[in-house]
Amino acid sequence: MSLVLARIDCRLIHGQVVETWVPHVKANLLIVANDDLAANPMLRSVMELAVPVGIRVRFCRLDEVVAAIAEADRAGDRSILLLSNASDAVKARRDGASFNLLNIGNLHFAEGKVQISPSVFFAPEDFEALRWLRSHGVSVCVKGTPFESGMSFEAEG
Amino acid sequence: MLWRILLAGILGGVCYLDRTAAFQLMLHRPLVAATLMGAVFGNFQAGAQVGIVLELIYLVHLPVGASLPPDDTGAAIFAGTAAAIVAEGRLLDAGSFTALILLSVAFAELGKGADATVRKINGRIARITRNSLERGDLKAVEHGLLAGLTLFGIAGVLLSLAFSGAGVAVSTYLLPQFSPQLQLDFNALHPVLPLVGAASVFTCGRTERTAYLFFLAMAVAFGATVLFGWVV
Amino acid sequence: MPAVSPEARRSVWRRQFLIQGCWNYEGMQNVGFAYAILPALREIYSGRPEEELKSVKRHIEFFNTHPVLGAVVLGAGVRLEESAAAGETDPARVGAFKMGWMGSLGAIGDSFFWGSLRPMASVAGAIIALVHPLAGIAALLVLYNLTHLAVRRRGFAAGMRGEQAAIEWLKRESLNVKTGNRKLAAAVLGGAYAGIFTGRTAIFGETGLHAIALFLIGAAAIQFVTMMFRKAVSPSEILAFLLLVGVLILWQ
Repeated sequence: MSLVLARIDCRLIHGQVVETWVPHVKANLLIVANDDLAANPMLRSVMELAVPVGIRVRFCRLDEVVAAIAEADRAGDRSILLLSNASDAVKARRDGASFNLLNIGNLHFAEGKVQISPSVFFAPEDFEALRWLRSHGVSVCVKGTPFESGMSFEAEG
Repeated sequence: MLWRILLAGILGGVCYLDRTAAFQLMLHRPLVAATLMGAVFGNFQAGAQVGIVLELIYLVHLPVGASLPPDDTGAAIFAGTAAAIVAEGRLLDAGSFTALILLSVAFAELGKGADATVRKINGRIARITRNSLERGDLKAVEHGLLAGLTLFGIAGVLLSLAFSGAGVAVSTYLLPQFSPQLQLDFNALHPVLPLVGAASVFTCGRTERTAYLFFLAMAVAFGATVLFGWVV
Repeated sequence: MPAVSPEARRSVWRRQFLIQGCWNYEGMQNVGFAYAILPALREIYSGRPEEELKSVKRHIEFFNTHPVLGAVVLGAGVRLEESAAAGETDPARVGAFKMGWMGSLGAIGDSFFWGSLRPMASVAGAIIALVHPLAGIAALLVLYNLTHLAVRRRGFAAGMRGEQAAIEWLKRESLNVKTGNRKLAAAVLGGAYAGIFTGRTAIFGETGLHAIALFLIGAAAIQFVTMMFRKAVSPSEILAFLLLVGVLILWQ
């Protein structure tokens, strides 16, 4: 299994990912699946600067996730999949992305959202997405860094 | 003693402000805070002794995003205060040194909890700021920031008072309870503590090309220290 | 384009140091950022109070990045507001720019400042403090802040020249390469620190064999604790465990 972590993080690549998760799961590839980013070369070039030497990054559109993971599998990479929100995770999973454990790191506060952990806020549709994921064999774990004890929502059935 | 604790509260408050709210000039590092507390309580050398070891131990836990690391500033304020009092103008003995570093972990965790609370209260300040802005009050931003800064500052002073007070209490009442023989037993753990700090740095600095360099440097420094010790 | 005056620019520069002054879980650095950019907004939108209010509201939205590299976003934010006020840029671009950059700059800053420069300065300070505490403190502060303040200054200036200039500056500065070098320095100094402390213990031993055994035990202990850290055991947990061991020793 070469997909070592699937994570929802509205900031995608940032300090928690490169400084704590990458060494923790010994990853060498970051797959960033995000349509906005795939369409914006300037933001991509800033994000590339955030990747440590020795770690590769691949940007792809949401509908390319499965292909990107398969390619990483073939190359024998240990990859981290980064998605920016819960509905993207549902889409990726529906397309056949192979993760059974999903980490939720950060989802920003906005009016009408419910606080789940210090840095994770759920909108009503996020609960919906979470329910769908859990009923499709995905366990969800809310934590920013591996140091936190976090909060787990086991898969159902 | 009382004026010393008050002074510790003020100086500690400055260190705490530097930690998150303002500047981040590294005045909050354990080496600085512990030595400062040592100086306030009359023995900066003893404060530095614990500061040198505390400086590295918590480095591995980065303050990334909303993830809060243990409060090493608070640990240093406690340990620096207690070290200066126990040492009484000499260097700190190994048993007390070990005991203080190990006890300081409680303060690191307490301080972390307090930090989280301050940030939660700041949430309320930020909400009020946002609402006032909605009503068209442009002054709200400056007031909101000032309120947050004041809260960080007050919390820092209170924590410093409490932690250096605890340092005074532990060094005056708790440590003298143990006979020198028992303190000598505690020594067994003494060499382990700097190694935890070194591991913390090693974890931060570890990449493929640095792994062997770390142990190479360790071997060289070890050899030099031992030879120097045997010759002198 | 109504460029901000040097006074307003200096005022924003000073205020950047308080960007975390009201750090909170909902908006993180939002109040701090709005506070820092306020002097520029006042000037850019002087005489147009409604637009001024709108622009301040733009900056009270969620924001979080590394506090030092926030300087780049502040600089570029001022520039974007200038051109938005002149009608050359859609004001919505300002928020999109901040959201797009903050995560990446956060990652660059966390790796460079917290993950490598600070450990390097800390361990250098700790080693020098063994000779004299004040020299150690001076070394720590100077090593860290020379780079820290220079990055703030250059980053802010680059941001003030616009987004494209900021990217070019970031590429030139190549902080991710420097991160590797600082990590290397931190690892070497960390090794020296470990060597000095194990060496001090070994001095009391009589024979060379004894010393070598101590060295190997020390190195193995470091390797073990490093493994624990990798497994996300916190330093507090390790110290708490040692405290428990210590109490058991006292109990005997």
